[in-house]
Amino acid sequence: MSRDRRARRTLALFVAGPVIWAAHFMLVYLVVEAGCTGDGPGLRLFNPPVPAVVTLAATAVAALATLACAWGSARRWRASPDEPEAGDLPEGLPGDDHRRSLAFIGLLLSSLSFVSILFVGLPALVFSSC
Amino acid sequence: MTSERGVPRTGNPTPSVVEPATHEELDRLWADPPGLKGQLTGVQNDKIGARLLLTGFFFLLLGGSFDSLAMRLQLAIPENTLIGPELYNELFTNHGSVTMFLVILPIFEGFAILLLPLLLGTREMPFPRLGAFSYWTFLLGGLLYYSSTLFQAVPNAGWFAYTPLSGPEFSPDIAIDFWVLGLGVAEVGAIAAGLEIIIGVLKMRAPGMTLSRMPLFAWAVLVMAFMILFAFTPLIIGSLLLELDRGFGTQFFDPQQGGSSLLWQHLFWIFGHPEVYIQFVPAAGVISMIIPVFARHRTVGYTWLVGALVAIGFLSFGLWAHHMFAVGLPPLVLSFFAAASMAIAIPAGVQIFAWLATIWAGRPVWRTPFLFAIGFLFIFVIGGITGVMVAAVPFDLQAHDSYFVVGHLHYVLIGGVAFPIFAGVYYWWPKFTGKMLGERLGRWNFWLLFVGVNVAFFPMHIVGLMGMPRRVYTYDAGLGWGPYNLISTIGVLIIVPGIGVFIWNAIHSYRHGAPAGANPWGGDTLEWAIPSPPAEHGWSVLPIVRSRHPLWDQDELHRGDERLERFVHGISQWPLRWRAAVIVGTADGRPQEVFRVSNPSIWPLVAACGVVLIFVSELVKLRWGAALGALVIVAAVIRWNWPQPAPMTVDEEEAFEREHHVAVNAGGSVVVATWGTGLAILFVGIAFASLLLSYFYLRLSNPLWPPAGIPEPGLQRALAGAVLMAASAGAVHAALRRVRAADQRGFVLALVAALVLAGGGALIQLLDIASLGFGATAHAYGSIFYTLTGFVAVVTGGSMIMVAMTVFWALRGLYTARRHAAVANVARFWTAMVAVWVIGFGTLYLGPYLT
Repeated sequence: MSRDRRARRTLALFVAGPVIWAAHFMLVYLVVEAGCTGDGPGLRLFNPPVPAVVTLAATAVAALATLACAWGSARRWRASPDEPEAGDLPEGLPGDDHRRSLAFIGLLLSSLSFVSILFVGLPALVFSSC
Repeated sequence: MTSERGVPRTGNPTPSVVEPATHEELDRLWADPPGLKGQLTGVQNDKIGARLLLTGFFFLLLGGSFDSLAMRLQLAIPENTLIGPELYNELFTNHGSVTMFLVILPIFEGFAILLLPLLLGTREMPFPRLGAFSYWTFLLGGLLYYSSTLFQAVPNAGWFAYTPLSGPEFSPDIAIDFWVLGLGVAEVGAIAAGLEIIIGVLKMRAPGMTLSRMPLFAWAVLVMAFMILFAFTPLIIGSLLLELDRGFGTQFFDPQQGGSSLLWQHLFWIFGHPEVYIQFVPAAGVISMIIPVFARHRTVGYTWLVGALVAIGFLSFGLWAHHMFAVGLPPLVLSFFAAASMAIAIPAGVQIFAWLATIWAGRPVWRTPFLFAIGFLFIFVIGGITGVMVAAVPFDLQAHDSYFVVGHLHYVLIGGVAFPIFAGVYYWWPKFTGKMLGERLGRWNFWLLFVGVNVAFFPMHIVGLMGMPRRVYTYDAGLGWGPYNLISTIGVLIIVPGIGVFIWNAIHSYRHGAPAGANPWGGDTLEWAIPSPPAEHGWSVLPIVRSRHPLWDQDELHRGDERLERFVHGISQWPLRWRAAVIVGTADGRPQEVFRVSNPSIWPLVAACGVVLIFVSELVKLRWGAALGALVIVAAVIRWNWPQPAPMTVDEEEAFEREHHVAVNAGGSVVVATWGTGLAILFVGIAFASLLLSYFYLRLSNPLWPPAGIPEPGLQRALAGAVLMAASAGAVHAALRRVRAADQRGFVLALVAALVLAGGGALIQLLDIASLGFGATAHAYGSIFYTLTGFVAVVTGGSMIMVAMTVFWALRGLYTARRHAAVANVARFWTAMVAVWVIGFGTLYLGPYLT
């Protein structure tokens, strides 16, 4: 595995936004499916308006989480160029810091994930039952 | 960012590669054996990539072209009698299935395997034998699929094979089995190539090529490969369930017996929607390579383009039910998918604007590859706009299953995928053949296709909104649809000569084309520094990369940090008896390891034949054939991975390591094997998750679970089995600690203990299964119970074989305290197996109680 620890953290932030989006989507989809097709003692837990409430709550949590990731990526992007890690190669062109590029892409992905989470979750304000 | 430092100095000569004295020897070392033996055992990426491309084009002519021409001739006039309804069903099934499974995927995976080593500044892909396996399974799977014509049993239920039409009741003959099984073989090949591409892009690049200096094509195929892993696996599971219903009497998709027809639709479209983005994303990668070169300007918005590719990769998995808007899903669920379907337009739009900005900032050169790129922009954007239209549920409820959708999908697929393929072929043809494709013929090719596609597919939007449904073999005369259909047919009659011109251009260029130098287009990426066509090993002296556009920014390709210079020159001189390639750090491109890539081998072909044997046996209902096929696969995989004696002594390896501070593993890469194991675990996990989700979907579809007459399962034996399994994981990890401590005896004993514990646990669980009072064929409850059990059994069996082989090799002294990477990988896989066991049986035994 890469010994480039700072890059590993930056890469984790990079995918964090879309991963949060995916987890949010799976959760709200499965809960609404359970609530709108289920019919059994354990599944009555999911009867409306539970699906809509869970959707809105999950949306709020996921949106805040992606904002936090965006903020983390933005901080890394704006920070002054990192001191080279042990074993780093001298950079080819001045200002070409791969970790900062990855942090910027992470910022873009977290922001888009934030928007997408809102797109997906807000319909629960309109549709409260199945 | 300094990489936007204005117009590149494209007028300057391309920096040249150094050709050391060892060039000839390297070329010989990397060449495949001659003759038939070489054809069957060869694993070199050039050969595999070219074969995948050619096979893909071959299937394009078969299924992409003849079928569509026949259909359009039939539809040209109302109440035509050229083709009857049965044949028409077979034509559109074949057209869809072949283009979606057997054309685009081999073409792009072929592009990737052929190009990536040159593009990334390395010599090979990480798993050459896996690439060969992928090719053979594509070829044999496609031939198996097509052999249905020999048996007059051509699949006819659409490329999506919806149940119950494709189930045992309504399709009792073996046509659909050809569909499921033939394509199933090809799907295995797709996943294999995907694994290889992931590791190749992340770990095998030139020194200095950080992730943010990687060409956009590499980013694109990386995203594509991950998507293949996540999308094809649910389809394989769905196909398994369908074939079990058809051949073994299970009830997954029969609502009368607790199953659900919608379950098939969900599983299929969880694959099917990402599939179209699996096709679009590499096409976007090709366009991103071509536009900067012909606009003679650096990519504008490189980071935005990377973000867009990754975003599309993720978001595309949230769109699948937009193919199911009309089946009766709850409105809130519909809105989730409509929202995600619209959200994905954002990254798609970002890409379009980045490309437009690059062209705007540059000074375009209007050669054929660029013409196809412009054609792509025009046609794909129109398709994208109609896509956003159908993402709106109320609109889609009117347009669903009408020709409006046919128009939409062909605009995005032909504009978004086919045009970039042509662009890529015209662009890279000179590199791999050493000849230029004709420019005049190229223009004819482009304009015939561009005009033909618009004439053929635009009227479909109109006639679709007038009410013409899809998949009809004819239509009434008085509806006014005739003129639009006639225009569409004329369009196809313009496309056909366009493709004919392309084939003529290719044949003519291959024989008499103008010779191409190394860099006929003034390109910026590494492949243009190598002579055309390239030597077998590609790079004799590896390049040192210091920019996103190395050939535009660097005067010298092998200058840089002093350590790196010595390293790349050292690699060109040693070793010369085995095929050496370099692993770099994922993000920073710093050399980490020198390892030996695989030599030619017959075992990938044998393993592919084993896969085919299993599927063919199921087709002809010869059950023992499947067992034989499984044995063949196990034997072939064992022989494939048979450790070869390391061609270097430990001293020689350590001498190189001391001089260059880079690990040498002539016995095989530690890094690649670990990543391979990790991805294999991921694959198993996704397949398992698909089965678990199917379990819960079926649970939701049934008010009584278990159904009336079946008792809830008893827990004691399952619990005992799980405990023994968990203990075996402890034993395997103890074995790993022992080998690290150089305690050979303790190591072997711990592995044997693990096998005994696992065997005991499996036996207890088997006893419990044997005493269950229900079978797999009466109700979906039993069907999913036994299928999940079977899945866990296969994973467990495979793990036990792995540990048994480890014991075998340990007894022959293969593993030492220094060289035992394989043991760590086996331990990881074993742990994953135990997790699958516990979660799987936990679900089966506790599910009825918890819900």
